[in-house]
Amino acid sequence: MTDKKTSLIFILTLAMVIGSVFFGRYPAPYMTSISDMLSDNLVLKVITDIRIPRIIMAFITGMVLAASGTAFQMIFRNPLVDAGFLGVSGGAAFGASLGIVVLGGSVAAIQGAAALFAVSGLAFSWVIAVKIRFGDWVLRLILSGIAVSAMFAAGTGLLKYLADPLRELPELTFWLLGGLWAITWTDTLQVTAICLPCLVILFLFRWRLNLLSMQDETIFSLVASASWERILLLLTAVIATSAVVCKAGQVGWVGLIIPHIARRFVGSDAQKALPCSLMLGGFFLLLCDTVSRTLLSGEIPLGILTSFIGAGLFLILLMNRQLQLKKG
Amino acid sequence: MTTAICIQNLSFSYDTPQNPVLSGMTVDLAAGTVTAVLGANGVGKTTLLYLLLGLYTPFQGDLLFFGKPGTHYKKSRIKKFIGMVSQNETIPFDLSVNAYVLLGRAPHMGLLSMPGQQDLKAAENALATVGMTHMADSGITCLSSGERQLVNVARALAQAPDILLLDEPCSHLDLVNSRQMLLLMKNIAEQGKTVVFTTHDPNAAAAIADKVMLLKKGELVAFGTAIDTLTSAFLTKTYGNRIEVIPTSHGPFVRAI
Repeated sequence: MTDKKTSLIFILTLAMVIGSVFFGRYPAPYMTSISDMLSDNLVLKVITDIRIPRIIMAFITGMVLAASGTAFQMIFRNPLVDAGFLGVSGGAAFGASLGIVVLGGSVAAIQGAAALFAVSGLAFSWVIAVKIRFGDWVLRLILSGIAVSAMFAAGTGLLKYLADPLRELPELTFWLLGGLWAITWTDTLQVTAICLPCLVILFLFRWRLNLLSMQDETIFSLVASASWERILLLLTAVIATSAVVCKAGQVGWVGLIIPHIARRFVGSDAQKALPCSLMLGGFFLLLCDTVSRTLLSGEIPLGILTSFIGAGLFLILLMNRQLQLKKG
Repeated sequence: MTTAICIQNLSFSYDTPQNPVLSGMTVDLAAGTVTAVLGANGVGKTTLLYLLLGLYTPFQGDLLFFGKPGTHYKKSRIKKFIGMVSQNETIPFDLSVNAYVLLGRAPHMGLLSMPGQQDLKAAENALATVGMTHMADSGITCLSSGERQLVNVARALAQAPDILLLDEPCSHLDLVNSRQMLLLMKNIAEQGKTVVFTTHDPNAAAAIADKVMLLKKGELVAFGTAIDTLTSAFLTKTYGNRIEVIPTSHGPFVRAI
């Protein structure tokens, strides 16, 4: 039954990837036919140079946020954790704000600063966690991550306050709401080069995530290399998340809800839940991005859609009695 | 009889050696036996199990397993022969019973391996040993405390350990489940495994333990058979309260006065 569900999700995901090529606002709103593509070189160019890299980017972003969310939740033994903890998202937001308000607002400045501060978020959280003198390491890391995120949020707030309300503030607000409107092939290839190895590592270690979600004594009795496995998987998840966040901006909820939805479908065993999360994450973000660029003549910020649709789906899933939690 | 665990002059402290949790403990535990560790709260029972597991390092003394120091074995080797069931294990995600028991196979699997046929068979056998085969597909969070404790033992058995450490395995269990757990530990020891468990119930120790270890403030008050150690004098010294021991046909019956 679980295999059937996984196959169904795979087929739907594949259909979504292929189908999304045919949706857009050019040459006409909503649908682009094959005849349009074949008859008009400009349409073909729009699809190959703008739409396809964006589709790949959306899919990878969804996969990365969902897989990282699964890894974070299992390693921290907490189903409410996502990349927002550890200061990664907060660091990226602060970095991007700094890029826009202080460093001139070039694409390189925004993305570079976002990536730098996203990784710095983890580094700060880690260093502070080492200094805390109580609780186990998971609690220490979460506490320090919350504190670092709050400090970055304060910094972002200050930069918003200082930003030019006509020029910088709209750009900053739009970045913070997330979006893939500026994605090029170069961006997509750069992100793929970083994220693909990270996704492969997370996929290969998926069964070990079950082990790492146990309490410390149990892990110690079963795993000789638990510490470095945790560090490897956390670093992998953070690097991949930083890579997508610096290009896509703040895309909320994906890392939190998709792992839950995947567990509802195939059970909590990460051997099945992580691949399902990957596919659902890619599917969900691609769906949101397709709506974002197709529905209205202006772009709808991606973060608004992921939060709105994601939270709605999640509530339906929680309240639907027919969708019983799958054990596994 | 082979000595499975040899504890030699073992001392441990969480902070400074002047404040030891365990001090100068020396005992030999034979293979295929059940040893009960008794003592008041906070005397170092769990600490002793964690030292045996290798989670803590003693500041003095040696731990030998099957005649060789713990440091002689590679970490990955030790995981294969020492299993542990912690007190009140918490499992944050609702794994199926079968998926949870399979985690016990980790020391026998490669870093990136998925459970294979051999692992599935071992998990199946472990569940059969604890009588939980019928719950294999149930979610772990749906189980009662007693069932969950049995599944914890199954996970440790799937590890195929020679030494099994259980921290208060009967806590929170009702009378029947507690009895079932004790019989299970006895049964496991009869299969040649060395079982060490902590308990607050001297009667549980009297029921199944081949050897009993009485601890007070990290020091060994007595070590020997239940008949020899579960005496009014030793227990009164261990708990600092008058304890009465009534001999019965099933062994000593202990009660606090």
